[in-house]
Amino acid sequence: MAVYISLTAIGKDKLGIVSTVSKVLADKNCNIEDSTMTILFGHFAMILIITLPKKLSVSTLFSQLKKNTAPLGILLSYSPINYVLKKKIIADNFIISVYGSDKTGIVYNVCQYLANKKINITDVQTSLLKNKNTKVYIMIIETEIPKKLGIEIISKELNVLAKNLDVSISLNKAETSKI
Amino acid sequence: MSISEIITIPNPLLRKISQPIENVDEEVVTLVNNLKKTLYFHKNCVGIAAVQTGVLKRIVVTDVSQSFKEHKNNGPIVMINPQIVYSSGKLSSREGCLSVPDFLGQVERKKKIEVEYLDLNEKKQILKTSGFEAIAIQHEIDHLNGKIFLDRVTSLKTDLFRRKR
Repeated sequence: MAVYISLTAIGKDKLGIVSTVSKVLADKNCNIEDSTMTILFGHFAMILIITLPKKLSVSTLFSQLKKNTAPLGILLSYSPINYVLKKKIIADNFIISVYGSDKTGIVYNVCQYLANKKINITDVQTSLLKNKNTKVYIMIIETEIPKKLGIEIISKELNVLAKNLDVSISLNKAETSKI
Repeated sequence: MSISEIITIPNPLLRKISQPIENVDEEVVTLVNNLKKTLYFHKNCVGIAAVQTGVLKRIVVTDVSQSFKEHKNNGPIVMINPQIVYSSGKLSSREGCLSVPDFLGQVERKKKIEVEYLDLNEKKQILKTSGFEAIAIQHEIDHLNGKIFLDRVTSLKTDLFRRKR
């Protein structure tokens, strides 16, 4: 059974972060199974799921990573994880866009509603737009909405939530067409 | 002619329905000229709706030749009371908007449209178009109905691979 490790790295964005981390992984024969990497607030953030070859210990890999990335000043951490079998669920993908004047609790209130409804979140992206004297918060959430919930009801309830939070919330079926 | 200030979200005017034009009078002509000047002032801007300058009137101006990428286009078009009378197909692209600065979102729209409108001589026109120009016109007509592209996002901005459980 392969050993799966989640590896995270974050630090002030500079040239060479991805190449340094991936070089150590390649040299040590580790495979990158999945990853997401992006710039957040001027910091480069990576989350990788990797598998280790049989003879390599996690601590050996980690100390090598720490040594090689030391000049970059990034924060590294890791944790073993279990392989998760994909569950089949009867749901449709929907995109929920939320935007409005920035205030504390937008993420919490919207996600709390989704959790109560047992709507799973598969991806979230947020952005804070600063324009003159206003700050606008935008959040685009990708969700799996179980068919049995009924999309009209969810749509109505999101409209009520939007009014209460004084933001705009829209619900659109995710694009799934392939070309 | 003057460059008008663009209103941005969350200005509530962007949520309002614009009113139809009864007569193309001097006021309308001035408004159109200002919209044109404002459109050309913003680099790579391909369309503008009157509401974006704070005027709730059903007027849009598009000029897809202004795009940084070359697209089939009919040059500058002034549309008064535009209405999509036929549409078909699907087309997805990353859209931006002067009223939502510094944000792009993936939106699915109709690929081909037929749009009816009045020109500045109050003559009824029918335009058949497709591709990016059709997208620009749909985006602007949305403004007249109080909608912006953020209300129509169908995919995450960097979504090449849909994440699954």
